[in-house]
Amino acid sequence: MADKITRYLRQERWSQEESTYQPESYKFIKKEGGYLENVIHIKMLGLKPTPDISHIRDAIQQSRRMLEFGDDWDDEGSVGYTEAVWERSSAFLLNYIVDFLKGRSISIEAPSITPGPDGSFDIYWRLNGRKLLVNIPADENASATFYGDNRDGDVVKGSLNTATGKQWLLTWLTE
Amino acid sequence: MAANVANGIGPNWPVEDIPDEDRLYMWAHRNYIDPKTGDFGPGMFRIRSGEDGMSTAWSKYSTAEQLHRRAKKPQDNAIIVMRVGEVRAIPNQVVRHKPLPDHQAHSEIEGEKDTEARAKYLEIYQIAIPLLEAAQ
Repeated sequence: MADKITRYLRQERWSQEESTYQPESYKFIKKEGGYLENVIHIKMLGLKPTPDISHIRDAIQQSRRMLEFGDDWDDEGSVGYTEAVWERSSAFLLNYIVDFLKGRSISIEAPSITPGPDGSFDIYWRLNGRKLLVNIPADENASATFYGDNRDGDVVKGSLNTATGKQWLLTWLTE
Repeated sequence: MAANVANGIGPNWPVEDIPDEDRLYMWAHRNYIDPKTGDFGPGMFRIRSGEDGMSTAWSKYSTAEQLHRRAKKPQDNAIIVMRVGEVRAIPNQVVRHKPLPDHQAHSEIEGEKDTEARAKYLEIYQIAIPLLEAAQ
């Protein structure tokens, strides 16, 4: 679903600096931050109770700082970060977290979102003796990779399709 | 040649084995920090384009301060430190002494820095020189 949302929003949102557009079930706000707000709006449609993900939204929004780095931002030749990678990372997080929280009366902490290698994004949680690192690659055709472990020596690792939400990863992290 | 050696420059420093109990220092750029937590993210554990391994400085021949002064912009870098034995415990990581003519301490950590490796590096590093001190 996130992939369809991304394609639709890209077609429509660049025409004006500020626009209001009201199709069947959602409207655009402002261009800046508009993508994020609209993805959240669409994901939340029909959910009762509505999960509080304001801290997640804030973390995602703050990660936009990486888009301003530019190439060689670390004085060691690292490449900069693109809007496309930020959108994929945002959609992945919102897919996973909102789907995970459906029907649950719990919350989940916001992850750290930091610069990854080669234009990728790193998303990192550390909760209750468990850690989980997910890397969203710059190449939109490449799979994301993840690694997690806990104090007991249990390990989860592999690759995943960020366009489809699967709850089991966050279930493992929070159990 | 004597003057060069005294200045830390040698044409062919001998390659040595680095024992597990020694330490490695590494630059950590401020942009890798998560503003929310103040912690460094795992992205700083990477191999630069064109190099065979992640560059570090062996504690036998360098202090943290000496490595810090070598940075292009010391004010933008902290120095982290890792125990060699703990680095070697991360899958596929190989520590090699690779001295340069003007940098006898230069060493590299070879091996892919995949998601698993980077997650494990986050567990073993410590701050040797924090950013606040580096900015002074």
